[in-house]
Amino acid sequence: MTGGGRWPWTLWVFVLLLLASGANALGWWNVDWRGATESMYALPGVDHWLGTNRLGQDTLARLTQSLMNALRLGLAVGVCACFLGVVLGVIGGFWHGRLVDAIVEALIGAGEALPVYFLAAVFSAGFGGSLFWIGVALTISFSTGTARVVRARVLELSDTEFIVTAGALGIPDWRIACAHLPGTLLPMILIQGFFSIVGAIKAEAVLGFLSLTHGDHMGFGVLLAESAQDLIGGRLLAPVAVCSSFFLLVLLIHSLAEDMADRISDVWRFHGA
Amino acid sequence: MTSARSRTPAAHGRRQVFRSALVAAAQFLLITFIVHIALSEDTVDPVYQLAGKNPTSAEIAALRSAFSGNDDLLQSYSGYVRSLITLDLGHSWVTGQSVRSLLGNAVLVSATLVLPAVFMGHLVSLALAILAAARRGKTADRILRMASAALFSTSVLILIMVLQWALSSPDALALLPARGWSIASTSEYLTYIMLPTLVLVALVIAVNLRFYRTILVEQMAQSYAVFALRQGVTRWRVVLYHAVPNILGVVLVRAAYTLPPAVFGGAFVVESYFGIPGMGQVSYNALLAGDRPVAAAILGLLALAIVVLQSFIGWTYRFVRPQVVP
Repeated sequence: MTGGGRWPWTLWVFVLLLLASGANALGWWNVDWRGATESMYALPGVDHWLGTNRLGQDTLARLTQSLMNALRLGLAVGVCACFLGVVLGVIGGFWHGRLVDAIVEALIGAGEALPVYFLAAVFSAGFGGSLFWIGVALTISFSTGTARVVRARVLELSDTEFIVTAGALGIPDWRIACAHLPGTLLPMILIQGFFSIVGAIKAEAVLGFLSLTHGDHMGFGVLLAESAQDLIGGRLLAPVAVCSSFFLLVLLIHSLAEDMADRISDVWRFHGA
Repeated sequence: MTSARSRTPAAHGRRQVFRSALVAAAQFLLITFIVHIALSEDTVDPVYQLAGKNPTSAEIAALRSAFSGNDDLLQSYSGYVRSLITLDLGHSWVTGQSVRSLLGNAVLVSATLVLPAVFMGHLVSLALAILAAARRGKTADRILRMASAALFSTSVLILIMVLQWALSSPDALALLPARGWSIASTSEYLTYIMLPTLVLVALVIAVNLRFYRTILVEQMAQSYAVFALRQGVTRWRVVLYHAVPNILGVVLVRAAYTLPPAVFGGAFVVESYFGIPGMGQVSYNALLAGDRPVAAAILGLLALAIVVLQSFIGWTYRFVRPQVVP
């Protein structure tokens, strides 16, 4: 915890990165990342801070673009997976033991039965490597974890006083499920969301690395595949920069998840007291 | 809920088993349906791949009929499920080889790579977690926590690149071959399998070390452990003789859950990258080449294996610890 009730610094870095990613999507900056020059494998200098690749493209510009794309995909998958997971988990937990719960259980089990890279690769191969369908596959995979923990938590909560009292006061089930339960589950949802973002970023990198994404998509996978070749050729700078950026991005989101978990549980304890 | 409680325990148990079987069947049908739909979107037309140069329209029609391209969705889906159940998996569109024999060879290769790696990974994770729990708050624990956090944040791709560079590059140690696979002799086999195994072991540790440490630390906070510590029993002894036996069930279930995806999925990334002819590489090649029978068979069998395993673990739990099942 940062202490003194301040938000963790990791949150501000993450928000800044998201804003930068949004601005990049609108074409406000780094639009020339594809641009090739005649200086192939140029060393770092004023024009190219991290040098260039074999086509003379600026390594820093491509790295930045990969970071922005990864954040956008991660955020989209994280939000969608959380939404889907919460809906399934609340339905399964609140109407536990009924037919709808069995259906939710089957859906969760089905999603868990296929390894995430496998499912994403199948969707990628089946639907022409489209990033949208890869996102759909990742959303299906990551929503199951959220659905399972939310379902278990709702099961625990269904016997608590405020739910029982709400039922006794005549508040309909659907309203308790939609209006009261999700707020109580917020800390857990947030953590699951961050883990889904990380999972999506890692999975997209793997698919790009194995050439299972097509089209004009710049991602960490493509950069890492090039870096592997650079390493074999004895060129260390680009691989070190790419691996470090990827590692730091994932570490930042993991740290943010843990910081937020600490902070929210502190706030929860304070209000509970 | 009330009606379930008013039943006899035996009737309730039978109902639960019946319900689990139905859920498992639904899961299997759902997964296979998703896979079937995804792979029905043909990106590569096998007919033109196999027809050779200048095929006649009659030859194309015969090939298309052989690939069941004229079936409607329900017909082709029921055929797919039937092929999985009867293990009559057809032939590869690319090589013409029987899918069953292709997968039989690949499963063996994957098993020789993945099983030792998963076993070693869980064993090392547990050993390090025991060390961390026994030395909680001390330097060893702090180092392990930092290392596991760093490992958890590291992608498999970075692990592969770093280990490959460190152990295979002429600029570094140059101890092992960078890629490839050979079973010509035991020493060659060991030389080639070392690097991918190290990557897989590191991955298993990354996922499990923190988890095992957490549940061991939780055990050490239980009243029996606190009581033993206050009675003067050493922390090492409480961890090894009391806490570890209590978490072994969880460890076994976790290890069991990782096996089918690891063997059938065949360490998808590692095998594809290192060129190991296991299930991972076979499925990767099938997906890239649009070899639908092979990809569909692998995914369907994987789904079947996991659903059976989930049901088996669920039923075993009901039998062994009925109090944990609602």
